[in-house]
Amino acid sequence: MLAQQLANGLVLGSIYALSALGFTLIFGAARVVNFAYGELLMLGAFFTLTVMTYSGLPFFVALPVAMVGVALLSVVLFLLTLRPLLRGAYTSLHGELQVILVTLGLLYILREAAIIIWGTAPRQMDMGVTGIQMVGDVVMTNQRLVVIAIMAMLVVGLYWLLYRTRIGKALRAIAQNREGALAIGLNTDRVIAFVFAVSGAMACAAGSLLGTLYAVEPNMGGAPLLKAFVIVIFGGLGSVPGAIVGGLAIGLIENLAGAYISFAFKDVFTFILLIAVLLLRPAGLFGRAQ
Amino acid sequence: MLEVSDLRVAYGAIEALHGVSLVIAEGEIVTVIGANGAGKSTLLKTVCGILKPRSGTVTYGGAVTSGLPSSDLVKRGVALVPEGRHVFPEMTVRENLDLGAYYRGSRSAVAADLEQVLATFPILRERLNLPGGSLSGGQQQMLAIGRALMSRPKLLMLDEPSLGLAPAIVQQLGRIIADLNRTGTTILLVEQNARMALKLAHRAYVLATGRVTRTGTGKELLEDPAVKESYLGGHVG
Repeated sequence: MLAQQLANGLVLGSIYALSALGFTLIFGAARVVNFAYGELLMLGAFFTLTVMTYSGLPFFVALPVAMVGVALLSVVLFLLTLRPLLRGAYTSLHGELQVILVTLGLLYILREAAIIIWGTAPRQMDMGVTGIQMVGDVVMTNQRLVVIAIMAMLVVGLYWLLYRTRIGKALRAIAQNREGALAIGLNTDRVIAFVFAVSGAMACAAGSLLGTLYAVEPNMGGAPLLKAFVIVIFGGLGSVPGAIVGGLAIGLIENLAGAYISFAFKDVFTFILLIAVLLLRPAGLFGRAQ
Repeated sequence: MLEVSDLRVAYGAIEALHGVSLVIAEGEIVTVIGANGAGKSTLLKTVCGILKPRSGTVTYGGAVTSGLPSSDLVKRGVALVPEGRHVFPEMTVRENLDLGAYYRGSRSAVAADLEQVLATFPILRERLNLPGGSLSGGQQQMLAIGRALMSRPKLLMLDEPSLGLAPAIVQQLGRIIADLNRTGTTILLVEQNARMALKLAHRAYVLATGRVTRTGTGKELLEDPAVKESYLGGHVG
């Protein structure tokens, strides 16, 4: 029973980690709390489903196509709405509020657009993976194992991007010290556009995986946004390892609390843990005190 | 090499520079001294493209550069060592230095310059794989200068490099700046530590509340009674 719950928690945690990664990257590099982020997850699931429906391609081919699509959308949204505001945002509270309001506005625009295009009825998305694995008395569907594998691949890819590529290094530099990055002429707009692209791709992956486990619907973005929020505060705002560890931890806690204490109150334990972390380590587990 | 003319720069409604003009010839060390809030950092940030002027122009190497992004200025050979050093704390010294060469193509030339920087600052060689944030203030200043040098600048601008450093380190920095200048780098040095700056500089400008109030050779300003009174601690020394 315990092993089974841990395994289930790992699956959920993988998706949480993916959603939190895209959210924390944007915060780290652009200091933007992107309230529209959950809607990118939702759109990602719809993009993947649409590609599958119209081209007949399997999930694993449709997903990368959709990831590119959401990455582009995310960049376009950044260029059209946020870039003009960001210059002022670093120097004034007024500017920060404008950015927050714009991303909140985007949340509703994107959600309503999805409802107009696809309707409110939940849809199924089939990964096309069947069968189960049994280890001892732990049962896992192959589909859930694939979720874990995809998240592991994306995390490895992200680390490669951040630590091995030129633009990844620039991105880390901007996240660590914006003034220093400006002083050596790192073209911040281009790098931030890039981080929006990566974030969009991660959101699409997380949303599509969620869609295969549950359902694809226009309202599916709200809960993951809230979770991503909790996870990045838990793990440290802007921290990549914090998002991974935080995501997995919260997935595990929800499952264990749901199984052993109360399913109805499973979210409560997440927030109790969050409060505890904030009391003991206000910057988050992996956060740097400013 | 650099000509700033009638530069006005504002943060929102508040104007920080009210028409500043200055020139720097190739091979010079020019210093801008002034009190906190005089607009010194604003001037440097505008020259290197981080801030956009409200009016007036910056001309560098014969072309108007005000309005260009900072990446363009770095590519043209202008480097800034920002006030407060601003190294990347969680990246190694090596990565910090590499990022300084972000816009350069030739790997062999970058490797040669890395050797040069490490020869100038031997302490950085010892700390090459440690995070930038683990260095002391003086070492971080050297890292920030090394990072700027990695772009192979023709014009190196230093913003308050002596801030918060022990006198012995400040002296060492002064020697390094003079050496860099001898090997062909033009220097624009902004300092509150006016004595050190004026001793180093060929020419100097005094900036007060966004205006140039005095200019002359370093020596002239060192002996100027008004400068002594305001910036060199009165009659002392």
